[in-house]
Amino acid sequence: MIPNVLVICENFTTAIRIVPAYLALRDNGVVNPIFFTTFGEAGTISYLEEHGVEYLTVKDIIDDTDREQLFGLRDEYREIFDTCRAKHAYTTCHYKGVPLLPFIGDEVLRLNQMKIFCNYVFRKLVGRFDPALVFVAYCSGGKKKQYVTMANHMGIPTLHLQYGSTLLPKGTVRRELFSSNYCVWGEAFRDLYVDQPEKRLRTIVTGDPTFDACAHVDSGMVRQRLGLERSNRLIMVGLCFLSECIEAVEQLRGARVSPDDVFVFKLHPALSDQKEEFEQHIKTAGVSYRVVGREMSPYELLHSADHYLALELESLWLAAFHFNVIPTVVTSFLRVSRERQPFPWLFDACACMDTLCSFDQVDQLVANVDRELFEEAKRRLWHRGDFMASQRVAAVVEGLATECPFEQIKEAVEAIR
Amino acid sequence: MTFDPRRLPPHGHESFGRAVALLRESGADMRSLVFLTSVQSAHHYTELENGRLVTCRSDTALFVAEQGGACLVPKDYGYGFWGGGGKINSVNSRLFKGKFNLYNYQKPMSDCLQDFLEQDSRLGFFDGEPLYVGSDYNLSHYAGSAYLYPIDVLAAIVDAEKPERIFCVDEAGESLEHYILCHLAADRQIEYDLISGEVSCVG
Repeated sequence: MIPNVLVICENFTTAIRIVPAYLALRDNGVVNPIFFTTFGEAGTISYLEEHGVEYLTVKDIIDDTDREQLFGLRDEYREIFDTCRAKHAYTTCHYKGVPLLPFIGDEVLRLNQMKIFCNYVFRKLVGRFDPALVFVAYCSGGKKKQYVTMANHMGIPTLHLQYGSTLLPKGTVRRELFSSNYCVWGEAFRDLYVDQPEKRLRTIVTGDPTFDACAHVDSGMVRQRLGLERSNRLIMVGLCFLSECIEAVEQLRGARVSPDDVFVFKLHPALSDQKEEFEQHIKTAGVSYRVVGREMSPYELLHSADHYLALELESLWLAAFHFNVIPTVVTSFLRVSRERQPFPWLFDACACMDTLCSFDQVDQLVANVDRELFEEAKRRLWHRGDFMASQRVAAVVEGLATECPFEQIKEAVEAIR
Repeated sequence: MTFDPRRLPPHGHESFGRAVALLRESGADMRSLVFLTSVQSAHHYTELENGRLVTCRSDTALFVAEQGGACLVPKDYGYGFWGGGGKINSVNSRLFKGKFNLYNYQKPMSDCLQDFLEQDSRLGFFDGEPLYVGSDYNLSHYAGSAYLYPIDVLAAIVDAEKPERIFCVDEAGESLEHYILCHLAADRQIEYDLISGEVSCVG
């Protein structure tokens, strides 16, 4: 009998990581992947439908009787909570001598009622599918954490696929993770991303499945979609905040830029609805530009970019290595000193300029970067740097769901080339 | 935000005029901190002699600066302003730029909830299933940006300045500063006065 694997995904940024692996699992046929997204947010659903994912939402799992029971459980919990809060709000839950419960009580109650809901839904999912594995791309907060907690509680193995770079400065606390097994993008992330040494022993390096769809990107088509001429160079800039956009525009006004250079500003997916606001600023920079939201993948842009200008310590800076684009770091934007960066060695493999005012030197700066150091950094970040990560993640999922020994799973993953 | 003012530690309660007089009487050697909680509270700051002005609000600091005055601000202690009501990303950015990122609040949040959860085992383990395993990132994210960070900022200022007396200028007596400072002062045995009422009635 083919084991079921419960794949849980709630939002767009985790969907782009986990869906390629889901599709590989479905094609392989070794396990039966069941895709569940609790409330089916619009952005997530359109991505799932675009990629032919058959998904379930909570509406497919609970009926009116369940809803009645859930209301009862939530009311019962509220009563217990409110009784304790009335008695102890000022005598418990102190931070540095200040009682917190009068302020956070409602939020604690709301979150706990959500957890009760998740526990109930998860029990229904397990009752219906009896999964051999729960596979997520986020396990530290909210619904997914509660599903993973419940799976751990019920003895069902859990697997977490890395979904972000988590490039926190050295010495800062990291997000606590709860799964029992992990897939990370590259060797460099094993220690950075996975928070506990014992969990690192259950971690396998696979690469990022998101890139697999870009294996055969046609750069000509990408340039055509952007309306670029043959003579144009594509200068890509990733933007995460409006404030950095304003600063970048200010610096670009003082830069010498060739009329053939087209700056493509890629907005973080969460900023896509603010495209017009960004454009209002960007159009004053005095350069040719495009502003791109969710309509184009940043990876197909990177695949076709002549330069990537990194303003932030973020995922696109790292992704540039996978696509063989030597990134140019604009150091005036960095909020953390190089010494406190989690990967200080990255700077030796990048070009650096103080501000965008020096943009005219970008070719020379990039040409000066040591290619060997760049290749070494690429290997540490992206393992083999190929487009086989989905198959590797699928091998891990299949191995865990069929109870293969962990060492054997590692060997199977390593053999995929 | 709501809290029961009757549940605050004992503290003084002065009118603005009386507070101005108190500060005048106290002499320049008395180490007092005067916390301004809003632009309105800063309108008569020039009358507050012998006290060092502090604010954690960017609009208030800007107002005082425009009037040619100076305030101690969170940046002087390695922190950022708060109370901007920004989106989550900007809150993250603000905390990240300062001493903390929000993950720092996972453990303190779990620790300070512990004694509350012990009041009734069903609070943390309901219907046979766990509601608390490890930290609760969403809660620490919310509480961290809304309350724990402001507490950290005010505690850092108070501990660095070691005032003998704290005044909090807050017309309605409902500010987060008042609630936090009142507890911090009681915890550190510092004299604390709320200055409330109409500040414009000073003659």
